[in-house]
Amino acid sequence: MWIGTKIIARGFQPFTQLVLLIAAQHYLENAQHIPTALLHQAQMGDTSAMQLLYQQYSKAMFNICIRMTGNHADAEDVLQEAFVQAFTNLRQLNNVQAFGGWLKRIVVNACIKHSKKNVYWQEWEDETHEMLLANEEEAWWLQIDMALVHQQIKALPNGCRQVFNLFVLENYSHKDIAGLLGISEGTSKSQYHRAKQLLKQNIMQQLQHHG
Amino acid sequence: MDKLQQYLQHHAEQLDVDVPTPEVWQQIQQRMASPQKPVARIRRLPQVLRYAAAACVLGFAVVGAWHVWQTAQPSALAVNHHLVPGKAAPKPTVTTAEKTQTPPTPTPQLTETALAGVKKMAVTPRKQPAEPNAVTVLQSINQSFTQVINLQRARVNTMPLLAENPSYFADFKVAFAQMDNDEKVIKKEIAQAGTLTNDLLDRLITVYQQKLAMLKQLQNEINKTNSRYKQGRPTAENATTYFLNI
Repeated sequence: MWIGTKIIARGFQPFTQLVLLIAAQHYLENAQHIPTALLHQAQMGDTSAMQLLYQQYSKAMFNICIRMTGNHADAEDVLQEAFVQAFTNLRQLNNVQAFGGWLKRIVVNACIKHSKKNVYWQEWEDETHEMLLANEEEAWWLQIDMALVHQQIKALPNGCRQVFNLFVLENYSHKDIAGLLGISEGTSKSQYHRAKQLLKQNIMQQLQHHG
Repeated sequence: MDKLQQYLQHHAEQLDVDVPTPEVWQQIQQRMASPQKPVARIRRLPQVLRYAAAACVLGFAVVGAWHVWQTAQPSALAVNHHLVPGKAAPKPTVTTAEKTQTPPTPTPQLTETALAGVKKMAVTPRKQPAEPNAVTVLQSINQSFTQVINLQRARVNTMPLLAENPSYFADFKVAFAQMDNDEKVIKKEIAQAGTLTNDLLDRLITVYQQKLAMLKQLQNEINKTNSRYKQGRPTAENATTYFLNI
């Protein structure tokens, strides 16, 4: 009786897997939440589960990469590296609910690693930025299309682009950025201020050109 | 958090407009498919191998500890040249500056047992009933004494010279070189004679003892000058430190 049940269960295993994957895909389309079962399957090395996870997260992670690297090719390389690293170390993730944050940390770290390899940092401390930040001008960004903002963030020069992304979008402090990128805190603040100025200037130019 | 930061974080999702090409996933898939799992391989190590590895590590640790303990043993081979029979050791000459500043160097203390130990180490091969080859005996004596002398030399060479530069101790170096020459001459005589006579053996032992005594004296001298220098200056941080190469 028991053996019979076992054989039937084994026979149904591929079918149950398929059902689970379809259900997971359907679930992913409707919710941000990742089912625990899907992550467990990915942890066991199931490529289909990994693909679903990739489909769910790749866009957001790719946009982090492209804003940090500034170009499509490098962003794809970093994304690939980060996902391979994540899937390889997936078994180390104990709390599957924290997958999103864990993956994002891996991606951001991969971006930082790429930046450290490819960006020559010049220590540049501008004392005036504190004052300028204190006297914040009007909110010029309110009516700007976010796609244009995204495009202009990508076009920022190396160095200040990475600092801007880490500070504004990834919510790192200047102290953390300084530690991660191997620069001084003052340089991080100066680069952020420079990025802000350039972003405004470039967006205004774009608006003037295109009406 | 400034206003731009707040605004962009609030609209972060609208910023995500780019999409990766499908090739990225294909490459990820390819890389995941390639067998490169060193961690898994380590986990598959049999239990026996783990214990064997642990035993090896433990064995190395024990041997290392034993070796350290052996080398850290207080050397019983500090030899007083006053107790050495035969001709007196050529004392290294000391500079006039040193003579005016320092009291006469106290001779290193030596127990009779220590000397007996050294003598025994050297004399044992002679007492063997079957007279071994002179070269073998010579090698044995040479190896034993050289080991001790090298140990003492290493100690002296690693001692920092705070008060004086190495040229201050040049006389010791000259004397040591002279003893090296004496040693070579005696060895040459042994080789020419083809046998190890009592006289040659005594002379060889004397040279070795002189070397050890001189190294001990040098060590005392360095200690003395260093301690005098430290007494004069409470912090020796800015002092230029030299090391001897004897």
